[in-house]
Amino acid sequence: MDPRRIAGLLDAPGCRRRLAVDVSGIEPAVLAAAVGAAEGGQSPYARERDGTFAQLALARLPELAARHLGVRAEAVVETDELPSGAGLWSWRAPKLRLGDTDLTVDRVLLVGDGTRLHPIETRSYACLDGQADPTKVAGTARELAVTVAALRQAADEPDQVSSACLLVLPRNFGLNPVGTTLDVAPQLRRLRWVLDRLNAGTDRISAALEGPELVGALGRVPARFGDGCPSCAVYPYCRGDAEQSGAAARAGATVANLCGPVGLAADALALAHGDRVPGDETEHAIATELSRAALAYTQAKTRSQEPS
Amino acid sequence: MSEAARRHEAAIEQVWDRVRGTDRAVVVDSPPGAGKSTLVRELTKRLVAAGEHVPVVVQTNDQADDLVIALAAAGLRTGRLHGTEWAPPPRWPRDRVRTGTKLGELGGCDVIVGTAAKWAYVKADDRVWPLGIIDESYQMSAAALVRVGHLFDRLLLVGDPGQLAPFTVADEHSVRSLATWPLDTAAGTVLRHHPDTPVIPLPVSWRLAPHTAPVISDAFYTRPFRAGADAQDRRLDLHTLAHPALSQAAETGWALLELPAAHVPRTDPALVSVLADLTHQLVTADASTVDPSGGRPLTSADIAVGVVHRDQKAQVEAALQRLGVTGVTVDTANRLQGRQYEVVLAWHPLSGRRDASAFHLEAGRLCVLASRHRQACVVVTRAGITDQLHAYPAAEPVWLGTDPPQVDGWEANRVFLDRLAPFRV
Amino acid sequence: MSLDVYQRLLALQRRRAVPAASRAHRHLSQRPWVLVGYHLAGEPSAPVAIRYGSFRGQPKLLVVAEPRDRDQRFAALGALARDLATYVSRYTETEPVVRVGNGRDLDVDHCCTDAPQLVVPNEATAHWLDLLGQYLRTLDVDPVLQTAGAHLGWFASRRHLPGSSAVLTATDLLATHWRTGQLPTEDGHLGRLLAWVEPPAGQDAWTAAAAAEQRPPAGPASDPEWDLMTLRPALERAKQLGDVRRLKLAAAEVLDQAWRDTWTALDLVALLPPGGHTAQRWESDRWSWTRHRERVTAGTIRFGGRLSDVPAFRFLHELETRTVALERQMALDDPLVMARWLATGEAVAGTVIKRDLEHTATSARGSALLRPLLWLRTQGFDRPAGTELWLGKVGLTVRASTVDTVELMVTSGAVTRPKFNLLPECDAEVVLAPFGPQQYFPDNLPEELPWPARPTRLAAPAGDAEPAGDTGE
Repeated sequence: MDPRRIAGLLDAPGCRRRLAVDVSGIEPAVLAAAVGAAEGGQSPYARERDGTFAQLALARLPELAARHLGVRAEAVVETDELPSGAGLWSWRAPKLRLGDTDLTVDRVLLVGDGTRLHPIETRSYACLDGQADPTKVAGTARELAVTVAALRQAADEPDQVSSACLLVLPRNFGLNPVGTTLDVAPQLRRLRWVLDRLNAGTDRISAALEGPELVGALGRVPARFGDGCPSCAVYPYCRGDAEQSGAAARAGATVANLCGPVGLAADALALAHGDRVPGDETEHAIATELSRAALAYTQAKTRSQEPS
Repeated sequence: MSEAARRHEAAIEQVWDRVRGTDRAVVVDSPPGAGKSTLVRELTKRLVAAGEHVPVVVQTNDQADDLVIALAAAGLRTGRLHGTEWAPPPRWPRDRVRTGTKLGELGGCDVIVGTAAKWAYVKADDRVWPLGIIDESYQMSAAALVRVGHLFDRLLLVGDPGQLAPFTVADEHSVRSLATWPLDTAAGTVLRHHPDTPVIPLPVSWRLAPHTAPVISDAFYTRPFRAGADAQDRRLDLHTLAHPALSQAAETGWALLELPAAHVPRTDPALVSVLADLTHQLVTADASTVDPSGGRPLTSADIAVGVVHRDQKAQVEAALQRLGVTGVTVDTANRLQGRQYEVVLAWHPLSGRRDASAFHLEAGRLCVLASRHRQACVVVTRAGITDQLHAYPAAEPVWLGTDPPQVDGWEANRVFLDRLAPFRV
Repeated sequence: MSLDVYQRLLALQRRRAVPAASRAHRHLSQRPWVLVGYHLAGEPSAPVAIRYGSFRGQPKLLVVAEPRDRDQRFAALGALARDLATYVSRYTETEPVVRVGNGRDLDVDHCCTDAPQLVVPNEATAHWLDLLGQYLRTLDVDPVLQTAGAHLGWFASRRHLPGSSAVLTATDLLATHWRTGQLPTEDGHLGRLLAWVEPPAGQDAWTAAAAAEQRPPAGPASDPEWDLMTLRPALERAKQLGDVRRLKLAAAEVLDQAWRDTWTALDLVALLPPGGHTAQRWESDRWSWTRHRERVTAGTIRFGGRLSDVPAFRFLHELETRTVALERQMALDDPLVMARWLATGEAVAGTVIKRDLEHTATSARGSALLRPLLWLRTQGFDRPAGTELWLGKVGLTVRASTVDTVELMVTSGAVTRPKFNLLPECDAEVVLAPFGPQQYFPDNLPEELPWPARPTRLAAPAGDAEPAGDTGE
């Protein structure tokens, strides 16, 4: 699996369906076809830009390593094992594992300050006035956490690999590389916790399934619909599922949080309108909240018709 | 003198040396109940004895009132600088304290205490005090600091780094568009701009007991601390049969009371009534609190109910009014900062939620609620918090150029829950 | 808030958005400047196609045959800049305004009678224009481009201020006034959002939203597949043959949807009567525009990068003040917004059933103070005694409550007989709000940061300094 896939475990660790898809290694293209998602391709222009920037960034790495980590290195040196000491390395197709899973990475860039190694990541989203899209940086940080964890597994001493990484982005409106240090320690802690809890109990889906059969298998694993779902590959399916079943969670986490065990929008509204007798104290609490909202809304609509 | 007391004294002398030295600023990191107020009082006394006039900046009117009462009791000529809507609290030492909305009304005072908000509007006519003391400086924002900083030539900043960070009603994305972070803490701002500033940690909590301090230290602090009291020093005696959570807490300092797991609206009526019942039982249990200074009956002023949202506060207060309980403090974590009680009943921020949120996970929030007590703390919650922590996506936005928080809210919550497990009722 | 949840549930069940406001809380210009467009994937400074104008039937379309070519880029941006200059040149008329100046003197100042308004489909397009403005200001090529950069800078500076209407995004307009039954993040998609608010006849929101997703995105990022299948061949053709017709056709076709949707959003909000404070907030935009124009004319306009130092703290103060003011004003202007506080129990609605205007309370000094009492019939009030509420400028404190009554004491605003006319009569229906009269606090910031918030060493370490005058290209 590639780091992005494993980092995906951090996107929605509470969703069994999402976890099943990631852990079972379902091919993204197969999944997209089955759930009727658009081909999540990349624009040819974005791809060209990525390539150009990666080249530019590589050439400027010695300078950036010196500025941000005080490491003097003439050039990036190829290596075929985890290096040590001070320097700048490119490790192509490294054999890395995370737990029992093989990690597929084209190349890992590393800078060593003499005692510790810092992974380097280049991305082509812009850094404007020192600020980049915080959602994109968060995504990068999650993937870097996977790399750091795998490198630590490969190292003799886990401490040899630092969680402080060097992130290289294009500056402002051009392609001038600019570096910043990014500490992924929080993401690493979360990853450790999620990986520790991935066990035989996790639902599996056969990676051989396609089309309607895959959809059927997905439907048998419970999901947890919420605000983060639109970025998930299974989203079109889960959304339809939530709509068909009348789930209150379809309208987001705030709604799901207030409705609690009352899973259906119709039931929640029945509580709000007094058309359903609360079954227990929890439903009673929900009914109190919602019926006050219903009353406030109804009265306000009348009031809003009056001239102000 | 005990080992703990020696270490504490040594830290105080270290602070005093620094204060008399040449550092532009000195920061004192104080875990809950580490004698911060005593320190401020003691240093103020010494400074006044050395002929200085001492301005003290605090964050809330309650904190100002508490400090003024303590300073006046120590025999210092104290002035309370206040806003127009302030009214003196009960037991106000009227005859020993001068009060006023302007500096001119406080002539002859050796110490002047006011909130940061009040100091910001003071007309000092270019007067600069040689040394100012800022209390609760981890609660104070850079935005508040820049409005008072010019009044002092040097600063002593005292505070608890585990409390809630300053917050704003403004949209975070808009504030993040700034090149600086105006909501940094006052202490953090000084340390960033003056990296040579000495930081002196107070190593001993005198409030928390030996069995409660390690939990707080492990979950919420990067600099460990210990309790100053001995295990036998403190005791909460309940003379009538009480709820198991109360007897458990009286015995061990902690109780974790879990109601059946449920996703409920945040004003969870079951939690409201449990908290009200426990409080009612506590005030009617004929309880007494015992420490080395002796024993005395536990009164409602010794009890606080800590909640997360204002509507929870309103509900609990209303429930207590219905039970005829008066005098018990019910407040949100924000407003309980810097205060101390014998017993605290805490509404766990994550109770009854389906999804955790950054607000509810904030380390400082839980830390404040769990570290206000001298004798015992009962944490009340719906079961199922571990699932919430597990399901929380690691999707917080990451802003370039900012360091990850020293204490991560998610991690702190996990550790706290872990350490509290043995005290489940 | 529970009202938000209830409305979303209603919308979900009805498969159609429900009103969340009954007044227009944004100022709508008679003549907005609407803009939709695409830039090259990953490159905000390289526009591909922009459609803009003040009349929905007469949009202008700009295309750039080689978006990565500086000259072509500047030529297109130049045309945009000139049209923007023409548009804003309408907003030069001023009127005299008398203000209380320093001391008690009356100053006469001049304020523009109207100000320009930029309307875009979504947040991402607004952000793109911020960047484009920033980009234009870094260029040293053409004063027209520079001035356009300055104007875009003004729009950008207003955009983050709560209550400003200088820049409107269609998604924010709709999400402020309606509540859908989809995820809040899905509300950021203009087509989907509009499908909830105004689904085509015979369709429910689900069907309409699903159809909207199939249509071209509202920008500024284009669809990757469209980039590959349509844009690439069109750009190739334009480059090789100098023929931009195919590019124009392709662009017009994909941008048409966003163009129409943005205008529809304006139409829908225009059906609502304006909120009582909307004009007051627009006046603050007009003052800001007046000052901006003066600076542009005088050639004294300056834009730094991100705010730091004292201006950063001033900006925070303004954000906080405006956030609180906007929330309060919207609630007082609009019963549907006030309903949020009624739903949480922070506000109280009810009927006055009894008054005691002679009631007195004893002050700390022992004197009797006139403090009238009111009794309200209401439903389910559950706040404790001591809770403070407001009826306009009249402050009240809850003394006691039962299941269906609340007893309140007037504590401010109407504690003298001449002001008793401000108190509601018996049988009057009232809504008591959790906020009182608007309070303004001066920001009270020093002219320069004091020493604790300033670095000891003034010069930054040499390694961190960015090369001066770098345009970033």
